[in-house]
This record gives sequence, C-alpha cells and structure tokens, in this order.
Amino acid sequence: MTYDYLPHLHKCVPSSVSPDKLSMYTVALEGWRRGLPLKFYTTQFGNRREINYSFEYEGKEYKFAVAKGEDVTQEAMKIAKDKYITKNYLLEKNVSVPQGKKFDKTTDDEMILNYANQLGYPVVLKPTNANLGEGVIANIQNKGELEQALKQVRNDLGYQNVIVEKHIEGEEVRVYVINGKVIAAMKRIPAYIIGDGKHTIKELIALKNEERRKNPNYKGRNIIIDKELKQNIEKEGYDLNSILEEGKQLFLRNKSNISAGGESIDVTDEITDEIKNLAVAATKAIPGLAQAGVDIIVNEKENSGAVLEINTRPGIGGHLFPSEGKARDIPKAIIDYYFPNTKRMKNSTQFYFDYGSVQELLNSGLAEEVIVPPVPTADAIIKEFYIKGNLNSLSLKRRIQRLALGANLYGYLEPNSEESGKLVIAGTEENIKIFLDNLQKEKNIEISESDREIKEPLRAGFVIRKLSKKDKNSTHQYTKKSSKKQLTFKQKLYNKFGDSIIWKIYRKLKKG
Amino acid sequence: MVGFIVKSNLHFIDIKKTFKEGLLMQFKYDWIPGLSESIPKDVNSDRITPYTVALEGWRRGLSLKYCTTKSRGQIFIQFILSNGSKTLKFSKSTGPDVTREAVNICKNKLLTKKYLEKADIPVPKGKAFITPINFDELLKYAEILGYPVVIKPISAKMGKGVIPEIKNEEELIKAFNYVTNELGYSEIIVEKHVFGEEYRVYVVKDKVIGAIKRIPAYVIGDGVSSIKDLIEIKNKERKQIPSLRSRPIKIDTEVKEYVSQAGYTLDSILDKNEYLVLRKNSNVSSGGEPIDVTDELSENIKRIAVNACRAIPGLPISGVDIVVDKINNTCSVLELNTGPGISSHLFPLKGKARDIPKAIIDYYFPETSSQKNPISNRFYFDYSKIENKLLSHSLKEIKLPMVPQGEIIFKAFIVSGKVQGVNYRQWIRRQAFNLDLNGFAENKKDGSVFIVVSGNKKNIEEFEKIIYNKGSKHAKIENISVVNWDNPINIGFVIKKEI
Repeated sequence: MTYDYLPHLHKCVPSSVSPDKLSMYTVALEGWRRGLPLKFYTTQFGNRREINYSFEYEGKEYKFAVAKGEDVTQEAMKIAKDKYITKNYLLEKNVSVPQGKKFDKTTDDEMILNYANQLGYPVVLKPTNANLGEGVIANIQNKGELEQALKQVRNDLGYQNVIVEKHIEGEEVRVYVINGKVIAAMKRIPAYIIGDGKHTIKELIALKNEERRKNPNYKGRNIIIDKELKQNIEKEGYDLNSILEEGKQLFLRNKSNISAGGESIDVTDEITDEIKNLAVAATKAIPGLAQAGVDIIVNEKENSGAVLEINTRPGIGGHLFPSEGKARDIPKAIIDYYFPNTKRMKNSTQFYFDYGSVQELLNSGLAEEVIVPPVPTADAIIKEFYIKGNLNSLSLKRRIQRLALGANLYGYLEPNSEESGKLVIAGTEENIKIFLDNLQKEKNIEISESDREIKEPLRAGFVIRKLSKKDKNSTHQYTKKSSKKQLTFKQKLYNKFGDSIIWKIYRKLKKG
Repeated sequence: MVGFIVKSNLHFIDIKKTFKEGLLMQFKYDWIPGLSESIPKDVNSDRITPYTVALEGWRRGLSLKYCTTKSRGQIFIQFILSNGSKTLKFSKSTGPDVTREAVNICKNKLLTKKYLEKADIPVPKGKAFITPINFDELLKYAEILGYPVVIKPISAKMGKGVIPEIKNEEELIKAFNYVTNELGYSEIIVEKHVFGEEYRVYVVKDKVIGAIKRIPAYVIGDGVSSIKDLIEIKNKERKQIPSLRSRPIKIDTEVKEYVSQAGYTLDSILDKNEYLVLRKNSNVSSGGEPIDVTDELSENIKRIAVNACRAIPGLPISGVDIVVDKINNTCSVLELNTGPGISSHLFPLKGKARDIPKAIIDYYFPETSSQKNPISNRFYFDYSKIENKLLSHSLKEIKLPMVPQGEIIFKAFIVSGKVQGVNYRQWIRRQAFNLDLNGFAENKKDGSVFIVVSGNKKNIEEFEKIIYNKGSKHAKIENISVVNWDNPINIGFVIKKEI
C-alpha cells in the first residue's frame, strides 16, 4: 500500500523516533528547519520524566511538550483533564455535548442506575479523569450491563468518580484545531485484515504487521494475537488458520486505538462545516486553549455532532501518516502560529537532526539539556565523493570529520572497504571549496566527485559510519541474494495490498 | 497481573571479594581515593585533564555544560562551569584567567626567555636565529657557548623538534638540517644544554601544587623473565593506570637498540634487580614513568617556579619545566606550559598524587572550596559519550544534571531468574529515570542482573517496592539479594554487560 506522505518528512523520521515521540519530533523538526535554535530537556510530568523542547524566537524561549506550545495554558490543561468541568464550560457556550451527569465516590451504584434509567439506554460510562480513553465503556444497553461496567470502572480500575452519559450513535472523529482553525480531521478504525483467498488469518496478520512497520506512526505497534482477537475471529466463525476469502474484511478488535493495531484515516475534506464549527467552538469555550484535538461523535444523517472530549496533548502522528487520505501538515500550522515571522523562510527540507543522540543522552540521564546544531542554510548543496586512502585509520577519519565540521559542512564518511569509501558533504559552495582545499593537504588520499545527485535527506552533523560487516566479508552473491529475496517479498505484498485495493473494498462494505 | 513471586530476599554478599586482583593493585599507589574508579574506561591520556577539572567543578555543585568552538577551521570542545552568578569557560584545563597574551608569550620560546630574563629567572644561555639564518654565525655562536648545545624551534608544541645534547659541530649540522629541512621550521634557538633532572612544576596562583619527574621506560629483572616478558608485565601495569593505559611501551627500533647495546636480546633473562633503560626520552607517551617529587623540591626551586609564572603577565596557572642540577645547586627554567596536562600528577607511579583539579577549582571558585558534599565524590559522568556527540556535531551543547545533593543513599541488588534477554534492564532504567535515580543495570555472565541505584531515601524505597513486586513483561524473577556497593557510579542510568 502506498502512503500519501508529506514529501518533506519522507525518510526524515529516524528509527529512534517511536510513534509516541512523533509529535514532538516533527514539530521540533519544522521549527529547526526554519532556523530556530532548538533545545531539548527533561522535565517531570506527573509521576514520570519526559523529554520537552523549546525554540528561541526573537530573544525569547518558547517551551513545547509533545506538539503543544505555551498558548495552551495550565488552566486549559486543568479544565480539559476533568471531563465534567470541560462539559460545563462547553455547555455554557452552547457547545453540543452528550447529556449526562457526574457522580462522585459518595454516590452508590444504585443512584447511578436510577439516573441511567431516567436518561434512557444505551449509555456511556466513563471515569471523570482518566487518560487516553481508559475505562470508557460505550454502548451500554441495559441495567445489567451497566452494573457490570460500574463494577469494572469503580472497583477494578479504581475510578470512583464517574460520568454517565447518553450514548450517541455515530462515527467518532478527531478534529485538530489551531487558533480557531481546523487543520485536520481523522477517524480511527480498529485493527482489521482483508482476505485474499490464499492466506490464513494468522498469515494475513503477519503481513499487516510487516506493512505497519513502514509507517512511522504504527511501527512497534503491532496487531498482537491475544484472547480478545481470537474471540473476535471466532465470533465471525473463523480460527487463526482459516483462509479468509478474497475481499472479506475482518475486524480484529473492538477498540480503534492505534496502539492496539487500529489505523487512522484522514477525513478533513469529508467532515462538514457544521462539524468543523463545532470543533472550533469547543476550543474557544475553554480559556487559554490555542490548540487541541477535539473528539466529536458525528451523526452523518442529521449533520450534527456532540463533543466527547478535548485533548490538550494529542498525538499528531495519525494526521501525518494516515493509512488512507491526505497527510496534513500540522507541524507547519503549529510553527506558523507560534512563529509567524518564520513563515516565509526558505526551508532546508533536505536535512534533519539527530534525534537519536538527543534521546540517548537525555534518557540515560547523562544530560538534562542538549542543544541541537543549527540547520544548514537554504542554499546548501550536497555533493558526493569517492575517497581512497587508509580508511582503517581512525585519526585520518577524525581529521576529515574535523575539517568538514570546521568548514561548516554536514555529511558523513562511509567506508566500504579498508581503503575506499564514500564521502558526502553539504554546505555552501564556498565552504565546500575551503574543505576540499584543506583536504588536498592530506597526504595519501585521493578523492573524486561522483556524478550522482543526492536526493535522500541528510542528518545534521558529520558522522563516521562504521564499515558494515556485510561489506567487510561480503561475497557478491550474498548481497544479490538478499536483495532478490526482499524484492519478491515486496512484490508479494504489492500483489496483495497494492493500489490501495483495501480501501475500495472497505468503502463498498461501509456503504453496503 | 505480574506472574512471579520473589522467593527470598535480603542476604548480604561481600562484593569486594569478587574484585579482580588487578583492581587491588591500586592500593599500592598513593592516589586520590576513588578518582581512578571515576575515570571512564575510554577517557585516557589527554582527555583526563579536561575531564578531571570539569569533574571537580561539577562535584562542587557547579553547573557543567560542554560545547564546541571553532578555531582555524577545526572544532574544539570547551566546558563551562557556573555557580549562577559567575560563569567561566575552560579549554582543556585552561581557564579564562590565563590570558591570550600569556598564551602567545609562552608559545614563543624566544619571547618567554626574554620575559624570564627580565625578571631574573635563570634560563639556559642562548640566542635566536631567524630566516635567513646565517649558518656560519650559528656555528660560531655554538662554539662560544660551548658544547653540548640544544636547538629548538621557537614555536613548536609538545617538545617537537627539540634536539638536546648536541655534542659537536657535526651533530649540530645534522640536527639543524633535520629541524629546518625535514620539519620545516625557519626560526630556531640555540641554547646551552643544561644537565640535571627535569621537573614539571604545577603552579596555581603563586603556589606549587605538584611536581613530577619522568623517567624513561625501563625494566627491572627478576632473574626469571625475559626482557620481552618484563616489558609485557610493565604494559599490564600501565593498563591499570588511567593516564598510561593507552600508552604502552612499544618495542620499536630504539628499544631494540638499547637492548642490544646492553648486550642482550629481547629473549635474554635479566638478573634479579638489574635495571635496564629502554629509551632515551622520558615522555610518558613512549613508556616513560611519572614520579611525584613535590616534597623533594627545595624552597628555592619552588620560588623560582612561582616567579617564572609571575614574570609572564596573565599567567596564574602554569606547568613550569625546570632543570635542576643538584650537584651545583642550580636550576634553569626551560619552558612554561599554559595548557599543561595533569594526569601524571594525578596518577604517579611513585609518590603521592596531587589534587590539581582541586587547586584549579579553588582558584576559580574559591567560595566552593569548603562546600563540597563528600557524597559527590561517588559520582562521575561518561565524558566519552559527550565528546563523541560533540565531535560529530550531532549535538552542539550538552548540559549535565547537577551532582546529587543532600541525603543520598546507594543500594545494590543481584536479581536472578529469567532476567536476561527480556528487556529487564531497560525496564529497570525506565523506573530509575522516573524516580530520578542514578546507577546501572548490568547483565552478569551467570545470567543474573546486577543493579546499583542511588538517590534520596524515599525514591530508593519506592524503587525497591517496584522491583520486589514487578518486572519487565517477560521477566521471571526468582531471587533478589541486596549487596554492598561503595564505588563511584555514573550519573544517569547505564545499561551494561559484564565483560
């Protein structure tokens, strides 16, 4: 399946950026590329420490956490954290919310059951303050189910304070609003597979996981075969070894969380102005909330919706890397909003910074604060050279590194044997000349420019890459074989899922 | 949720017993307690100097930041120490009070000489020759001066191009050609060679803090081992010494020549207590040994070293090279070093280590001299990693956390069961990170995981609660035992493997 990625993020998300770091990384990258000095630091958040970052802009420091800047105030965070208080603020501004009531720990289950009866089933039960949809039980059909749900949420999970709400039928969308404007909207669907008449369900799940690894927002978030998944398959009359018929879509989970194998689909162009206005009105109802992710339940037939929740620290990965639909450039919108004077700046989109090193030093506790080196100027050019010399010598490699960085160049030196390798450097024409002149003084090395145009993005800094084991004792056959193997696997995947056939089927099913 | 039971707990093992013999060898040296254990493995030779000075400042509770600077197209690392109101930048061990002017004077051996002579500091008699050099005049001068003489380039670092003990005209011509043609220096000094013992005297603000001499590489026979084996034993010992571990005695042409001149081969066995010199020069980098002689210096020599620093404007801290002729009770100042290495003072093979980092920080941040929390000596940091990230310009600036303050306790555990290959150490690291604990988790060869943590009492207790009740998803813990630990640890939390 081919994703419609933002081109300036293509190959710019290093493996060290896990999905939960994607929001921070992409916003930091956008600001950095516009030339803003970028700093990362550790800070206490609740009972854990996390990495935050800041930009320097017009002599002031602007702090960010996840994708959230300082225009989301402490007050707004406090309000949004408590679902009941949020609701009151929304009601006050006539923002539509599901009808419901809050109960604290002094209320017994009996009273809650009475209220639900009054409200009319189906209902939703949720803790007053819990993160990431924990403990939210939707579509409770009757008294018996509610009794069970109450036991689970209040006793087992320990959330004594709960809200009971009218359950609204419809599709849930996440709308991302910045400064009164909708930037993106997405919906999430639970983990699923589509049959091809050849592979077993187990194999299809493995193939799907293989696909997920390529999406920066899904990698490491595999579909795991557990009890719930097996039950769902059984409900449909299959087991793991059944071959799923061609075109048959099988949902594997109830929840649509990305972390549980769910997928995001961009619906920005599909939601109506009414829904967009609702999302904007919701953010405006909370004081000090310049950016947020608003969860809305949409009733398509009536073109109406109700606000379920407001997220002050929403992940933006689902908008950046949707399985279907257009990627939305939220980092751009965020940086545009906070740093308007950088809007017209020429972006050096061919560079990204070394987040891996940032994370390594901060997470190991060796550093509490690190500053990233600046992005090269927009007129930087990239050149590739072949280099011959004793690349076994660390001091020679270090000297080349020093010369390159001394001349304000970024790039890397990559030996492919003990006496030859590739040298890639990026910077202004003038600085490249200085570097080459200095390099000429180095005895016993030869360099020649390659005619290849470097298109792949380059990481800031100058690293000496290791001579890979493969290169060290490679036989030509070995490399050939592995690339062939990869190709056939790719082809296989393409045959199965290529051309986004899933989505055509998915839509058909939805309509039918 | 967590499907394992901690079967037993709390029995003490004396971890010291498991120490390797090699570590015990340290006790025969008179070093600063705990310092050698605070030098990370890959921090050696030249890097010990900036590392130990920064470490001392950091341990005093100063904030420490590393950054890079560009000078003449090259990248260099600097560090910044701050007490909040005063922020000072250091290059190597050189702080801001050593002025640019002082550096320029000391770089130029002729200028240095002029300043010293003006202040009546004894220096070897000599004269500079500048392009175009009149060679006849030079020879004539050497004749008047009297052999042996020394020639040296006016501006060269680390004793490069210095040719000592030139005995006659023939040798002088050879040496001159070498220095001017082969090394390419055009400005040289011809000096009287002064005999005696050469000392490096470290002066901080009018006070001699330490003095060492270096003796050329040698071996002493035991009546059993061959010369080759004796060199190997020496090199093994050098490996234990932070300042020498990357500087073994190399068996090269010079060493072989010395051996054969003594009438031996490398396989010869030396008599017991027979002393064999292996090299002429005494550089520690080529096998020389540093020996502390601070207490042997006469007051007169100390005064001369101090006055030599005073003679140069803007030089409160310096390493003064002095030749002492004990027989005639005279001495000459050869050179002043503005960025002297200090590792030989910290780790001498004989004699007492001198705490130069302490003197430097006392000088720059006098208010911290009495403030040091003793517990801070039990923390150090991974300088290699910092250096690596800066030299590759992956990062531009790195600020370390403050040294732990207040009541800090240390605890060590050995966790056995199915704890390797199950992300257990990573899980431990996350718990430690969240509780602001420092330490490490190490996979042991016997399959267990060794954990050391340090932090305040409350957080350590919290950590204990967590590890006795939980583990990473696939870990199966059978036993946790508490052990003793009194060595220094890394700041932060490191995942390691026993080697």
